[in-house]
Amino acid sequence: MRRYTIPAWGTLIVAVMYLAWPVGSLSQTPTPPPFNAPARSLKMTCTYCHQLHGGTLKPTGTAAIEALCMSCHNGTFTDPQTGKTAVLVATHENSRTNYGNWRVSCLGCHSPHRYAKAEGTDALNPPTGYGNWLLVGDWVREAGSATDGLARIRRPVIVDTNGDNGGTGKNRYTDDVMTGYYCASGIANDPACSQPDPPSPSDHVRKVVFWDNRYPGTPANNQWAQPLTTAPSTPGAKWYNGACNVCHTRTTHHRRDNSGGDHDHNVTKACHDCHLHNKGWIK
Amino acid sequence: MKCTTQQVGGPHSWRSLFLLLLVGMAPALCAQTTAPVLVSPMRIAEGPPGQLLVTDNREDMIFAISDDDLGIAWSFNLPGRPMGIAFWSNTVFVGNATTRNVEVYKLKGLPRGAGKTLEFQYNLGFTPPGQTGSIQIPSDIAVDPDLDLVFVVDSGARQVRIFDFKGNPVQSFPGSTDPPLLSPVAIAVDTVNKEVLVSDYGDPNGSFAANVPPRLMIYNYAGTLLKQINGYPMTVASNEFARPQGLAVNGLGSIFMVESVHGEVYVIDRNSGQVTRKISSFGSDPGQLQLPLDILLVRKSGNLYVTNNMGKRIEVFRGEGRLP
Repeated sequence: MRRYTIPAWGTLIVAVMYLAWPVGSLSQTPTPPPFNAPARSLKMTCTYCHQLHGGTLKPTGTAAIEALCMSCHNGTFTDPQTGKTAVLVATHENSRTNYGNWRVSCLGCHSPHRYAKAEGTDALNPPTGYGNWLLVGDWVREAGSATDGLARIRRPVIVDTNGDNGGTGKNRYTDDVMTGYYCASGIANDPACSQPDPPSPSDHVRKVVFWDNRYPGTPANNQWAQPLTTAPSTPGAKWYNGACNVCHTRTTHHRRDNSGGDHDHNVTKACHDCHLHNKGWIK
Repeated sequence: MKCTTQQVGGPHSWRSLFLLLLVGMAPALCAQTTAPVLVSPMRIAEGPPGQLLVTDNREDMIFAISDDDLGIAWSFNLPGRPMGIAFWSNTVFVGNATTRNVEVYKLKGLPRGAGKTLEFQYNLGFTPPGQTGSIQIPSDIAVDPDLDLVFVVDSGARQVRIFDFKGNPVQSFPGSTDPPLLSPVAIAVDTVNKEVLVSDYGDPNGSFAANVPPRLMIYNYAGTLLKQINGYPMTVASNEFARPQGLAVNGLGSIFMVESVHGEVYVIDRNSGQVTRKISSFGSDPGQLQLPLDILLVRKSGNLYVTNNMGKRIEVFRGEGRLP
C-alpha cells in the first residue's frame, strides 16, 4: 500500500500561512445584533423579580418597578441559563422632546404577567405563545381638546370584572373592561378629557404582542411596530396599529386616520428600525 | 478644527471660555446649541486632577465631572456604547460594547479644568482599529498602576481578563476547572492586598440544581478564588443583596457595593463577609438612589461617588458615607 507523506517544505508553507493569517478572521466573533436580540427565548421564573429581599418582594410604585426591570436591562446582565444578555433599554421620556414633562415607564407598555397567555384570534387580539411580554397600550393620547386644541395623555380605568387578576387596576386581562379614563389630573372621567373616543381601532387599550417578523415562526399579522409594506389607504388599517401608534396618533408620518403627513415615509421600515429602545425610542 | 469630540458645557462654560481665551484658543470654540447632560450614568472612575470620569450608555458619552461641585467639566462622544471606564496617568481605558473592545485613549489638554480631548491609541489585545474585538461585554474596568495591569470583567464571556498597560493579554480566569462566574457585572481591585473583587448576579432564575445566590467573589491576581460572600437567600442575615453592581474598596478591609434594586450602598467587612453598614435608601430625594450602578471611593478625600442612573446624577457621600 502506497503511503503519502507531507514533505518538510509543505509543512513550512502551511505553518507560514497559519501565522500570517489575520487573527481577526479566525476568531469567528459574531457581529453584534443591530437591534435588540429576541428576549423571548429567555424564560423567566418568579424569582427573577420576586423574593429578592428576604421574602416576597412586591415592588410598589413606578420607580421601584422600573429599577427592578433595569437592574437586569442595563446592558451588563447575561442570563446564566441561556447565555443571552438582557437587552439595554431606556425609558421613553421627555429628555429631548418639546411635549412637556412626560415619562412612560416599563409598565406603561409591558405587562410582565401576560407572557404566553391565550388571547383572541383576530388581528387586534392576536394569539400569544409566540412573542414577548404583552404591550398593554396603557396610555392613550387624546385627539385634542375642544378648548385648547392640545392633545393629552389619558390613562384608562381598568376594572377586573371577575377578580382573576387580584383586584382592580392590576394585570390587564382580556376580560377586564375599560370604564373610563384618568387624565393627567388623576381624576377618573375628568371633564378635561371629554373628547369623544377617536374612531380608529388603533386607539384604546389594545393587546399587542411583541412579535418580530425577523425570527422564524412569527405570524404574519405582526402587531409590533408593523412595517409598512404598502402605503395604506384605509383609516385604521393594520399598519397603523403598531405599538407606537397607540399613542402616536398625530405624527407627521403614519397617522392612524390616514390624514395629513407623508404616508410614503420609510415604507417597509418599522418604527424601531430608526427609533431604538436603548435610546428611549427617541431618535 | 472639527467640532466633534471636544464639547464645552455645563456650569463651567464661562470658566472654560476664559481658559481658552487665556491660551489663545478662542477659534477652537465650537458653537453649541445644547450642552450635553448626563442622562444615563453608568460606570465611574477617578480621572485627571479634580475630575471624575463617568460613562453614559444612552448618550454614548464620557463625562468629566468636577469632584467639588459635580458639574460637567468636559465631555467626549465615544463612537459606540461606553460601559466600564478606568484612568491612569493621562490614559483612559473605556469598554465599548459596540466594538467589543476596551479602547485606550490618551488625554490631551490642560492639566485641570476643561479643554480636553481624547486621542485613540489602541485596543487592549491589539484588535485593529475599527474591527470587532473579542471582549463580548466589557462591563467594568479597574487598574492597578503599581503593576501596570488592567482588569476587565467580560459579562458575556463571564471572565475576568487581565492586560498590561501596553495591551498585552496577561491572564484570564476563572479557568475551565474552577467554579464559574455566572453573571459577573462589575469589578474592583484592592491594590493594597492585590485582590480582585467581582460582583455576580448568580442565577436569578434559581433553576440550577444547586441554587446559586447573587454573590461577591474575591480572587487573588492569579485567579485563585479566596472568598465568596453570598446575598439572598442569606446565610448571613444582613446580606440581603440581590442585584449587586459596582464595587469599591478602601484597602483596610471595607468593601463598598451598590445594590441596584434596593438603592443602597452596602458596606461589607472583607474578613467576616457581613454587611456592617448601609448607606442611602431608595428614592428620588437628594442623597437617595434609584438604580445605582457604580461606586468610586477617592481615598484622598474619603468621598464616595455613586452613579445614580435613574436619578441621572452623581451622588456624593462624604467620609465614606458617615458624614451627613
